[in-house]
Amino acid sequence: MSISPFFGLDMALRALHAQQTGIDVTSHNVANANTEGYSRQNVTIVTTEPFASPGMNRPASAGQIGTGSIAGDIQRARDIFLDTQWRIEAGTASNAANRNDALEQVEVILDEPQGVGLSSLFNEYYRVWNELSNDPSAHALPVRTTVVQQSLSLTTAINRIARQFGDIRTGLDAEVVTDVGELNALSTEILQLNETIVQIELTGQRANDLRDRRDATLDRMSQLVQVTSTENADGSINVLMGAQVLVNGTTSTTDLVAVPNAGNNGFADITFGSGGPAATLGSSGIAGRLTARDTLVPKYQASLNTIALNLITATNTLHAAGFDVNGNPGQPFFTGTDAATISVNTAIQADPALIAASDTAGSSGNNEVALDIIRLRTSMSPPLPVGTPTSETAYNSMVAALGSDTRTTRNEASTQDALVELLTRRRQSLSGVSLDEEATNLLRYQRAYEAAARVLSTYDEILDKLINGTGVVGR
Amino acid sequence: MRITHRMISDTTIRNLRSNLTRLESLHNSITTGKRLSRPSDDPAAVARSLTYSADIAAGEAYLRTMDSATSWMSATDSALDQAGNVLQRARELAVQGANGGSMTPSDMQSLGAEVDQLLQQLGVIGNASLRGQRLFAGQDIDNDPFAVSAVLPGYTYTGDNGQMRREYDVNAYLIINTPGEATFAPAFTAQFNLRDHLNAGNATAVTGDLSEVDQALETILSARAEVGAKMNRVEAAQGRQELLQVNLEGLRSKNEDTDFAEAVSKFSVQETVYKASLEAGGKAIQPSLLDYLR
Repeated sequence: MSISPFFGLDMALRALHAQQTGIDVTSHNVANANTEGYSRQNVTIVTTEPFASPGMNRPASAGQIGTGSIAGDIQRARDIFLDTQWRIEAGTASNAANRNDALEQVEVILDEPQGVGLSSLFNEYYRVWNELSNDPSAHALPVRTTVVQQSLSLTTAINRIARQFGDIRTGLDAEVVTDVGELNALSTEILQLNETIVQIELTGQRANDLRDRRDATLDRMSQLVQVTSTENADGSINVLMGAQVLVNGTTSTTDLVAVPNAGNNGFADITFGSGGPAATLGSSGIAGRLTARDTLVPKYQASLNTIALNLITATNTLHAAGFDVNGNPGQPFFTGTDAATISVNTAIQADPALIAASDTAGSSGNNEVALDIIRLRTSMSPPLPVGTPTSETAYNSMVAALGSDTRTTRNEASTQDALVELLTRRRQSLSGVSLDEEATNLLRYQRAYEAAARVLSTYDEILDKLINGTGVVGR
Repeated sequence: MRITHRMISDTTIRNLRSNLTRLESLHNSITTGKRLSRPSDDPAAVARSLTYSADIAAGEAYLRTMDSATSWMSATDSALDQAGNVLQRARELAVQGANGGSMTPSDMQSLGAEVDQLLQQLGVIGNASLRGQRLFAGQDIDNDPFAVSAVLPGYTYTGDNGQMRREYDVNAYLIINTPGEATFAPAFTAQFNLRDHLNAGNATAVTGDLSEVDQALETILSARAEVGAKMNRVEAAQGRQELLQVNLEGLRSKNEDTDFAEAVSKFSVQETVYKASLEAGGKAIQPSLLDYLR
């Protein structure tokens, strides 16, 4: 028994289809060479069932004859272990980057060492008190006025810095709330992708592009909070944050909720679900902002408050022991209790003659209190306890601490960036589209397509001969 | 490792960015002349710089204090010099008056009239001031401390015994004023007595006044000597402080200023690296197999 020539036509057609699928996939790869999160796809061309199958009634041919090929499967090149690793490191990287951003803002606000920061204003402050000690008399009103003005420059600068520290924290809080909103939107997106992917994959196909999109969404999520994911049998994934389930397959999502905490300036606490437990954010972008908001910036706020309070207490104690040019006891020189509220007593602002430079009533050449106040530059004791750091010492160590904190987080961020970069390269190496490869594939599929077309025309000629050229002898 | 074009362009972009960052930071340190622009550039060095700046500012304040103390003491010195001259003249008149025998009472009285002038002049000198501040009034610098009186001791003093202290170095203080009453009292009394004795024509008593005038002169001279010694002390301290300022400026500069030779050579190296990375990137990104297929 022999095989019908029509058999060959079908085989050639399948070959054309298979090679064309190859070209289509190549075209898709080329089109997405620069698409973020795209994984290159491969078509697997498999041979079809050979002819004939074993059996008692099999046709007697020389052997099994191949029946050609079809495009069996289209897969994406992806390594989920690499993805997991990338997500962990990317979360840590954005944690460090967010902390570093906040610290760099603090650096800009303090404007040291070259700008007009507090250190130069403290220097000016003691300089004018020194001028006053050289010329304490009632007639030296200009000197007293400069003392008031320079003290005001100092206090308004302290106020400004305190306010800007507050602004940084408020800004971080707003960013946290925005991040939480974005995370919730991403959860919803994953839920929807899960649904679509399950529908597609029920039919036995692979939802490659949608899976890419889901992976990209998960990548973005992992920068906000530390997430892990597990894939279910139906192709959907569960997204977990520690033990808290953000996305449960195709069933549901649980939102994170930003709850204003009155005990913390009304800044948001993040809970898992409305009224739920605190969210386990892990090492991630949101956690980095929270650390900056609740730990890093407050540390400098507290230092500045202590500096301001010590200056207020020490100066006022000394000033109260003095007498102004009218022979009245000194009023408080500074008002306020911390960096945000420190100011020069408005009565003294209005009348610099109220500065009490003298320790003897009505003694115009007496500068003893001014000398005492200048002495605060090198020692706060007395009147403060022995060992109280001077404003200068406290401020300098605050600047130095800020410098090393910033340096440390910057190094951490750049190390982490390098790690993410490396993992990104490894991912790219596996999943990225190489145009050289695609060009080669294109060539390969095109040639095969041409050859299949030639095969088709061969069968065509055979059939032409058979149908139109047979049985016409002598015609 | 499988390399894609995307990886090459990503790498190119990343490297260009980091090269440009380094170039920018060198450029910044060259154009500002400062190596430190933020605390995190070198935390310890920034803290040191702040301390140097504070010390320099305090030093400038001490120098100003010393300038003002010096001008006060110079004024004191010249007032005491004048007081010395007055007493010297009174002494000459006393010597004339003590010769007594050859002088008529009216001669004696004309000497007495001159001594009276000297006494008035001493009153003016005792009220000498600098920029409106009385030099010899203790801390009561706004009011004239001395007035010549018609009765012994020949003057009234309304100043106080307050000391005017100046801080001219960390915890180092200097009293710049000269106690007025203690310095001028003998001079007033001696001249007061001398005038009255001359007017009375009492040559014997005038002889006694001569030693009183000498003692008063002695008091003025020793006050001058003390002022001179203090001025020397301030001058020495000033010299020391100025030297310290120079040293501190040097330390600060060393700490925070750009080492230009180093920065410029690093800059040119970095510039070369940047250009090379631009060129290499441009070449690596362009070609693909597609360029060679027909």
